[in-house]
Amino acid sequence: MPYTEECQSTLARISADNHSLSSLGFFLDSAAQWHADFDQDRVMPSVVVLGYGIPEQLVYACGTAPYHLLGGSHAACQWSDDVMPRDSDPVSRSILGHALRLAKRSDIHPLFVVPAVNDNLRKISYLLKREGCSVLPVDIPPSAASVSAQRSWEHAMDTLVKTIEQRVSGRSTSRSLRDADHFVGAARVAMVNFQKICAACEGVLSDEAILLVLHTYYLAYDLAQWTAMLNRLSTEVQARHRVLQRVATYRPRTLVVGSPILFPQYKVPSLIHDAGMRLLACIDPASTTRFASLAADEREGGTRRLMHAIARKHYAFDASSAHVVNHSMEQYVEHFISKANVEGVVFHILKGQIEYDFMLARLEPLLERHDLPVFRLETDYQAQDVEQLRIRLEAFGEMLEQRAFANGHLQAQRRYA
Amino acid sequence: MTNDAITQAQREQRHKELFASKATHMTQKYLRRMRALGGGSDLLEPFFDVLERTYVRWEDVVKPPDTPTVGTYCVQVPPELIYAAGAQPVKLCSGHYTAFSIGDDVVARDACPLVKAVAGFKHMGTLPIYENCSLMVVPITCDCKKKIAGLLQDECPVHTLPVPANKEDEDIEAFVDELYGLAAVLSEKTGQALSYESLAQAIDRMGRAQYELSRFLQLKRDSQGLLHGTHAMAVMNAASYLDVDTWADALGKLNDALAVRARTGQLVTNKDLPRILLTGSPLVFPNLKIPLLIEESGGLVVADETCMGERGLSDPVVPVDRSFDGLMRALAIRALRPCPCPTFADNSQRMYRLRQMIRDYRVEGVIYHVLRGCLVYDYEYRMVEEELEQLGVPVIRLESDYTDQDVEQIRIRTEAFVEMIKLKKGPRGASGSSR
Repeated sequence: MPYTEECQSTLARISADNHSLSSLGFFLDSAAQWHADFDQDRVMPSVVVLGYGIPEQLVYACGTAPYHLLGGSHAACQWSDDVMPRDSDPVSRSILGHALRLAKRSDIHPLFVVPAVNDNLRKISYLLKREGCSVLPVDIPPSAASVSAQRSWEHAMDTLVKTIEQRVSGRSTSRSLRDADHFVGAARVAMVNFQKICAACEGVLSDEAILLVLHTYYLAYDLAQWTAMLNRLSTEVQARHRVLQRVATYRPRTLVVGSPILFPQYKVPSLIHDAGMRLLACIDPASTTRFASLAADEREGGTRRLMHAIARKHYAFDASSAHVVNHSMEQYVEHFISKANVEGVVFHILKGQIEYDFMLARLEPLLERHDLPVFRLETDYQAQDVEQLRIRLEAFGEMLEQRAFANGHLQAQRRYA
Repeated sequence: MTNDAITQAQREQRHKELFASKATHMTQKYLRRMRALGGGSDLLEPFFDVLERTYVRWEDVVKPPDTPTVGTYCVQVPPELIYAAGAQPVKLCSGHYTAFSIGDDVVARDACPLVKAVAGFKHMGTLPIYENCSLMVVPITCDCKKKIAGLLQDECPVHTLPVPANKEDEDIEAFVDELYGLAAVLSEKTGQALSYESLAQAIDRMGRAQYELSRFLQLKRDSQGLLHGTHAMAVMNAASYLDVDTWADALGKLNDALAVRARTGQLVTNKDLPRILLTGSPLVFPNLKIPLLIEESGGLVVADETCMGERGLSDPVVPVDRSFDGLMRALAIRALRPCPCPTFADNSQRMYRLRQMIRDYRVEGVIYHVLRGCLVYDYEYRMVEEELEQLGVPVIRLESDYTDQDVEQIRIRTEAFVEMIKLKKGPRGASGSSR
């Protein structure tokens, strides 16, 4: 499926499922616009960030906005097929596909910032360098316990800022850093708030719509406007919930953990919905960074001190696969389970992302302690496995429903409904 | 309850016995095949014996009494530091199929077989070289090593050694810091502080082994056919399980004997066999099926560019500053700068090394080995292929796993490749190399 059609088909589905919310239109348009601009070579980014691994405040503080390439497009995977090994994961393929498209344009010469969270991104940085691109690879210390972890990370962030400053002829100051952290922090607070409201207002927005809205944070051209629109959408969701809550029906509450689910590849949330389950949240590397902004009293000091404070905060919350043990993600899963009434966990693994597969073994005892069934779902960006996944997810949903019934929760829920 | 517990214990014991029996059987099979290659295998007995002792008789590394063992992986952990701290290094990267089949159930399905075999041995808890380790030092090279470090942490003391993705000055500086951190951990473990003298002595000991290795490689280069490549790889693999002085002594004796053979023209074959270079994912004993298949198919593995082979020990430490810090820096530089491990983002150095080896060993064909799931090597295949195309050297990519099930398929492809080189060499090569 060509690039734009793939995006439009997901957007059309989300739009059809959520037609009554006027504020959602902004987010649908943002996603459509971003993809159309990319496809028609209309974007002129100066700093391209591959994946999530760096604190975006530092880029904003230099006077430019990061242009994120996160993957998610099956069509973009095909653009990198010739250079990627067979067993590489679809997210990396999609990221490189996008990056190669930008690299081949003669009218722009962006700086590619490549956080080396895994083998793929490390090698992608070299592939882009071979294509003649300006590349800044960023090492993420794999263990916070290592003697030089903090120092290496701060040094990597110093280099990042210096390189971006040179590239955009800008300069980060303590004020620009403070403003950037405040600005990004406001967007993150709005996202966390939005998630809470959606959790409380079940059924107003579809699961896919919630994911899309959160994803557009990385696609927004104007983050301040995006934040304002998100706050407006949150208000609208609350208002709509007052009307809809009487017709809410029971659906087993599932949590998706593991490989990121990225727009427009919403096969998994769509199947979870079709199987009669409710998707409470997707916990991926982006989830924890929403909490990685400085508190007001931490935004003090000179440029260097502030820069390092932002870097340290990001590193402490980083849940990327760069770590020997992904403590951030594990802790967040535990926190989420203790707060939300989760009934089952879908552990999502994209083929080739073995780092998440290793994590599953570590999470299983935790989930067992909470008496939560976990379902390992492995897939890629192809559509061939949809029916097989559908059957498995339906069985999982039925099992969760049976458990709820056996525990007496279901009757209570139905009475409430 | 007690009966259940006894039954469980008995079941576990039976499981371990079955594992031991299968594991030793598998190792013996490969040792037998290596010995059956002939051509000077009597000179290699000390090295075969080390492999047999470790994987058939399940004995620990031979070391001075009361010396703690420190397990290492990859080539970025400097053994000099471990010797200087009064410990014995043992390389734990594994090539064992039986352990792999156990590890297959323990770690992620798509993880590489090497880490699965490590996990398998650790899970069974029976092989002394793993069980007697006071510490394991795991360099964070690829994703699999990164994640296996997390897994091993739950079972034994582990020190992770972050390896930078690049080799710039600031990366070297960060790695020097990490080596200081490792030195402190080692000293704590052994109760022996590192000093300039102890480190210099350890570097000298390793230097002697490297000198013998360079002699060995020189002999191999000058008289191709002096030794089977499979045997050369077994010699270099044996270094993982021996004290460095013992290995250097044994290699010195082998070199002397090989020098005599070279002078008197005693080669393993007088035929003009296709000269093959083996590169790619690590080939760890007993997983030497690829070189064995090449040599059983009528080729000669003249050199290897793998981390358990020629790359593992050959780069010397070159201190420019006679101080403790100078030695530490020299160790860091040696571990990173010349290392053509594909874990580094920019590994164009590997292409220079391959080009040099192709010229030095007059290589006629390259076999690029990729272990299933070893992504970093797979990334570089395309670049190697392009490079070799320019040089006019044929290359094939062989993907394998830790199983015997793919042997016949690999044999067919290897035979076809060897035949193709023979045809390219012309009638002399084709007739001369028939077996």
